[in-house]
Amino acid sequence: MQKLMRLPVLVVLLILLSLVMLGVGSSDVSLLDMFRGHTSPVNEIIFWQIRLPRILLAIIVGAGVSVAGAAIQGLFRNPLADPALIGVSSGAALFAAAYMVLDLHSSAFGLLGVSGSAFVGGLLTSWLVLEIGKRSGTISSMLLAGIAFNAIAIAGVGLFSYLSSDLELRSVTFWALGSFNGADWQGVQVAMIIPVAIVMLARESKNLNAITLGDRDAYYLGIDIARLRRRIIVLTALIVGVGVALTGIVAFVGLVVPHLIRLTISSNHSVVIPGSALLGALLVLIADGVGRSIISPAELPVGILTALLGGPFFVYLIVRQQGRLGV
Amino acid sequence: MTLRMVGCCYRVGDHVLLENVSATISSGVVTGILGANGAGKTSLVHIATGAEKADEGSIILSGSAGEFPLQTLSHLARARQIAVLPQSATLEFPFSVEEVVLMSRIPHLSDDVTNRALADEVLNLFSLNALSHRTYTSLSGGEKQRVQICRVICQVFDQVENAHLMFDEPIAPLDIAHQVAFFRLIRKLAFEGAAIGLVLHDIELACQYCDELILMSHGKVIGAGKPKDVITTDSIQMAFDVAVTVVEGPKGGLQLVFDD
Repeated sequence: MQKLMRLPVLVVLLILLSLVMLGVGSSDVSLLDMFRGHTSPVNEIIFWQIRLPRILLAIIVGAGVSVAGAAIQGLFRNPLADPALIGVSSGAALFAAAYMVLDLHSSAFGLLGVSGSAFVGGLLTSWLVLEIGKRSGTISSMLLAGIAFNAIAIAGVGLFSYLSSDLELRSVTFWALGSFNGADWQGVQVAMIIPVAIVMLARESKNLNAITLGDRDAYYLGIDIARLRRRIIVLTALIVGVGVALTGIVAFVGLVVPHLIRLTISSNHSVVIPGSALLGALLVLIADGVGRSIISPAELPVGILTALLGGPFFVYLIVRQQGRLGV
Repeated sequence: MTLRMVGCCYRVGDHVLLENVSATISSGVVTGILGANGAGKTSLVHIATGAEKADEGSIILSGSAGEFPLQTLSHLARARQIAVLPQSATLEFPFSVEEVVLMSRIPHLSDDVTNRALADEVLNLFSLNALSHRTYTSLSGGEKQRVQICRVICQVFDQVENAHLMFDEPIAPLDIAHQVAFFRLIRKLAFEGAAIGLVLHDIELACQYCDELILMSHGKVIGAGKPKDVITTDSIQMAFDVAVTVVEGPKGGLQLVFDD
């Protein structure tokens, strides 16, 4: 019970940090100034049109990729699974990049089209990984297949960046590294699908708990495994697809955040999912804040920072849990 | 609730896993399922409980609500009456013991307080109370198995009289004290009206604690009934290809003496 009190603490921290982050950046605007009305029109635009949507996007995407990671780990019954690791994110990035390079984005669909395309890419990859797992029957072969798809998709993204003109090249690099640089209100609007998917995944908490026991055990607990699997795959692909389309691949967050919640609070998905949403939002917000102040006025893509922090932690997890993981 | 398999056939590819199997697991009775490795015991459990679909034949449930085929039950309705412990547990996440047992209540509408009370009572039956806040993944193999057994019992513990319980090789990882504790617990549940099926390898224990036995060989049932009628020198020779003399042990049990 004591440990559960850590969730409200995360809520408070997230609110405080969001307020602080509104004041972080290359131009000197703070929440306090906005409040007092001591601002120039330029600063007002920076505040309302750049900082606020950026922070909202960081919160939404950070929460989304962490929850997607938690759900995929539960579904694959493997604490090392993650949409980025098994190729779902890069599948989404490949489709998004293809959409842009083939110049379909100038059509009426715009950002929604890129997001939709990324969703299809993510969905296709997860479906392929699961199908292969069903054929061979083992989780490790599913993970290995995912790693192969990941490599193929990354090669595909590379190929598109090689083929594309300069401007697009930069945006293709953006998929691979992840950045909140282009955040605007249109992006936030499209991203609102992510909180919806998070809530729907949270409603599957008990089913996800059951499936960690094993497919058969979950069946005997009255769960229609095939349908549950489909729901989880579609919802995570939706989160990952929209997230990748808007901000590129924010690496390692989805892998590490659910672990931190399991280590510090509980493995129960009714806690892991809301906890991952909060902590994921918090960590991505921090990473983005550091990224945009560390080499100011230039900025580091957030994905570089999350990978630099998450990578070593991942290694630590593997060493610490040696022999206890079903890989 | 009594469960009857009628003429069930089950094939996977070219392999015939069950051939024209008819068997009954009755309410208030402990039924042991015996046979060599690959004889079809686990397939029988999966087919009987709907986890796999039979190619031919049917599964009929009968109880106070009349007689009906298993597949007419919804997933939830089935899970409220039929609880099964499959062979291998794959849980890799650090849930607490209590959380694992509480997962058994997923198909039910009962509230949290009731569920916790049930879990507590079942853990008590298997003297696991002291472990209830331990992390499942840190337990020994035998302790994990006891927790899983508790989980399966807890799934139907509030309506044992209508319940159907199946355990696939439940006692293999348990020491003899806990094996005996398991059988006592199972006998008590059967006394309260549950229908119980156990896949076992220890023939002598099966004879001592089961009311009925089903002996399988190559996907077929080659004997069913009271232990004394099912376990004979001939049937053991046929099912396991092992020569034994079956002798009557103390307290009406059976003993197998290997002929060397």
